Amino acid sequence: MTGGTALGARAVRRLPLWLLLGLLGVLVILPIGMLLYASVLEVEPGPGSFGGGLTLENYRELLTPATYLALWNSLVVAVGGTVVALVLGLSLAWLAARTDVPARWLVQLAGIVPLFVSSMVGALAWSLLASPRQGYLNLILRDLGIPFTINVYTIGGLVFVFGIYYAPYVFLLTYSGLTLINPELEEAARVHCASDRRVATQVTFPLVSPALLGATLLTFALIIENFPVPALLGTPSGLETLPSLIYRLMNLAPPDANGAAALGTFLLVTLMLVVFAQRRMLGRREYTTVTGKGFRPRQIRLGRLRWPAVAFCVTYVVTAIVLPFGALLELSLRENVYVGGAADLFDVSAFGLEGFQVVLGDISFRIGLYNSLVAGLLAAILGGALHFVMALVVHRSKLRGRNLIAYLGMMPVAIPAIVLGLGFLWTWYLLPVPLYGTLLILVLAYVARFTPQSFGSISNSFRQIRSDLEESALVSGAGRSRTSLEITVPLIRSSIVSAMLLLLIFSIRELSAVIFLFTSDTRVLSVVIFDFWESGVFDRAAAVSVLYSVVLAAIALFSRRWLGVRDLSGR
Amino acid sequence: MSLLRRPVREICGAAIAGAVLVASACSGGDIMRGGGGSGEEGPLVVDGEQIADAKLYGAAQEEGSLTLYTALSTTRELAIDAAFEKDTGLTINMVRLPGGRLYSRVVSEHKSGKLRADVIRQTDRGLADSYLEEGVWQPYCAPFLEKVEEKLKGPDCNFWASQTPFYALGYNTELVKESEAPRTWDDLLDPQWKGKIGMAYIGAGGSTWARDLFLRKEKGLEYWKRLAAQKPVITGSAGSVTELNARGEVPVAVVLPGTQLLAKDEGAPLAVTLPEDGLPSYAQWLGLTAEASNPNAAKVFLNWSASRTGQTAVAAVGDYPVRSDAPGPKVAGVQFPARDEVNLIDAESWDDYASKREQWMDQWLNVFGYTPKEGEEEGG
Repeated sequence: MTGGTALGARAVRRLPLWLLLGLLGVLVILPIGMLLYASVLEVEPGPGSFGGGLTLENYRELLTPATYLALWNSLVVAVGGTVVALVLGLSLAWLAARTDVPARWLVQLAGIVPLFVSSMVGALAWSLLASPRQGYLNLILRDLGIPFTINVYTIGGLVFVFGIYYAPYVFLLTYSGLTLINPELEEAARVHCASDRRVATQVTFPLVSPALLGATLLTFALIIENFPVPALLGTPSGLETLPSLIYRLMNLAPPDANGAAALGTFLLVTLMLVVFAQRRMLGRREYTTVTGKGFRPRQIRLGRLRWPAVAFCVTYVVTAIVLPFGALLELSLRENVYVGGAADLFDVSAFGLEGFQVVLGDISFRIGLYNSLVAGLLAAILGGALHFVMALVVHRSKLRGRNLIAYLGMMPVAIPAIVLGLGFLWTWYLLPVPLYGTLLILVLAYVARFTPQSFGSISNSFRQIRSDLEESALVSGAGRSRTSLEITVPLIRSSIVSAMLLLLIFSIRELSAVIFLFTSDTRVLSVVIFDFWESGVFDRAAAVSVLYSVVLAAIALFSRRWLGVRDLSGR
Repeated sequence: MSLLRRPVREICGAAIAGAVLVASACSGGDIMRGGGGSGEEGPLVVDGEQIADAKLYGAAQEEGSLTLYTALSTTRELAIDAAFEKDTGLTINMVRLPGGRLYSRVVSEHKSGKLRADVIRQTDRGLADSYLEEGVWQPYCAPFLEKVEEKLKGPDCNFWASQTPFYALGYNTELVKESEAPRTWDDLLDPQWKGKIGMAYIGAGGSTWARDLFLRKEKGLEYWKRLAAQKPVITGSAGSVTELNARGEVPVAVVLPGTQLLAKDEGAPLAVTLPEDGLPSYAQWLGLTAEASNPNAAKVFLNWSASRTGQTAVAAVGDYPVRSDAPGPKVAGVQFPARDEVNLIDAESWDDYASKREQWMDQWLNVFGYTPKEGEEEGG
């Protein structure tokens, strides 16, 4: 009898775990399972395709020069883009966090502003700036008599665009690491006569190395799976990466769904190997550097390097923000899309607001805006709740199987968005729940896709808060739930808010995960822009991009203080 | 279930379809609904043609709306649908996806018995035929179809072409003088156009395959190779070619004249020439689905599509109407010659359209550098 009750109590205690595993199963495992299944099927998965013939032919057909070329392009672009993003992002983060660089707000802006410029918008803008013949920059160069053409439709162009638009991720991931280092560790080294350089290389960087490795991993993963940039910048010169090749296969008539699945599996395995290697390198070291004690990190004086540092930041902001938005505005405002020469670019008489009026009245823009906001908010609320509970179970319970949750939660890092989208498509074709064609399927895709970022950020704050604070409460006689509510939640509240805001922003920015999931009723803004681009209405794509970025900027501005970029004096 | 569903009607105000709407509204003619606009009882007569008898029209009005799955470009589909809604008072719920993905969705929904579409419109005879094999279509002979050529009709009224868009040559009038504009496909091979030609990728749809099949058959593999040697700028869709052409990124281009002229209407410096050596065209196949839940409204839509007023709406977006008695497309003030006065090439009805497709598309990808040239290693 007592045994039965104990068993029952144990089952109840373990219920949250089973619920979480079930949810993650549907969000992560099932889509991957469907992808693998589709890759060995003879026909596209769908009702009636079960029990169909299995084959390895799809993989054999992958062994073509087109695949090798796309793989090679993918690797080159991802490595190059990651390096550029790391250099830019880390420099900015270090300047903002640890130096007396003037105009600190500008540096922080440089780090966060590109959050609202999606890589798609960046690519669109740079194709206007640097298309070989009529790119605005090239028009100016030509009129100045400079015999040099910037061509963004090249590997170098892709690397450049990836680098500038993924640098903010590196910035965000390393900035807090740099500000949160316990200065006692650095002071200790200094007391022992270590030089600034030695402190930096032997103390500071090892301390931020988890953040840095994490940033490298994330950036590489994000770039190699990125679809919009190669789609926009690679297409004109026939330059394909794995994601754009997958998209092309799916857009054949009829689609080569099984080929796309096999290729998706290949991309998935590649990414998983990378992630696995990174995890091995990181090991299981513990990095508890934030405790109940207050401190303030020491600032490094830049001296004569102060102004070059500012110039560096200004250049970054101009390249990532000012020029692209100038180009988008130029095209949105022009009544005639044709620009004869550099002088025409500045001829204000050719400008008008008609383009924006048309877009604001356009039903696809309105539906897109509405859908983006609704889906983004739903993803933030559902995702925030799910990821908090996951983090709570993983870090504050002793339930067996909690590590599996942590593992599943981090898994989507290794799942390319476009591949996740394919998996979702087939999963919900088959499941008897009529979710395909609704906004909810987009929301689920967002939640699954951004679990690592959101769950990871909440987890980090659990990890950084030593359990000594909670243990003190427990020792002082508070119950578990009271401890959670009064100690844990207030301590990590800002990280939950921050995770939800990240979910909101990332969801609204996302294109790849939903490119196979939307229908005309459930188009979101990113899809509307992509559609306008694909059907060749660039001026409208540009106008919507501007409005889209304004929406994202408003959210980013509102959430600035939660997103890890804080004014140092406020700490 | 969808969180947001709006009738296409509201889009009438949107300027995206503005230019086209004006054209189709003006040519819409007299509408007689229910014997004089009183409502329920009576046939639907537009432009002197009876589109639905009283019984069908009444039943359609009961249903009120129909669901259309389409792969036609949004701009054109909305313009046509707006004309339909104005003529009939029925509404269209439009779901638009690119051709290949629309096909996947239709087949998948059909297999699970949940096909929501009442009517499907999409390119590619191959896909229309495989719908037939899957049992997606329901035979329905719309009136006026006797005025349509046999090769534009599928077997037993299962599906038929509502319009045939076509490819022609376009140029940017700021960069190319009218006298120098290419007027034949061979003109594109002139060395002066090297690096200055825009064209859509062969796999963009059945349309681009029809275009390249025509060139391959009529002018040979050598033509493909010489065109590739001109280093054209390749885009993912026919629409974006027009955009490149408008901005001057490519001075000349292989374009859909309707798209090109609609952009001209918005102020872009663009023009079109119709190459004398052939206008590769392709069909937009239209049909009623077997599982239609609004069969009457759907039938009114099919009847309307084949009627004079429906065909006028098609002409106003720059596609060729299929009826032999319909005038040619008229866009942005440009009137094209009638169907039988131009050299439309219907490559879709050739045997090679299906049989050579895979092999020659691979060859195209190779010739145009999407895959490494034979004998070459993957490059760095």
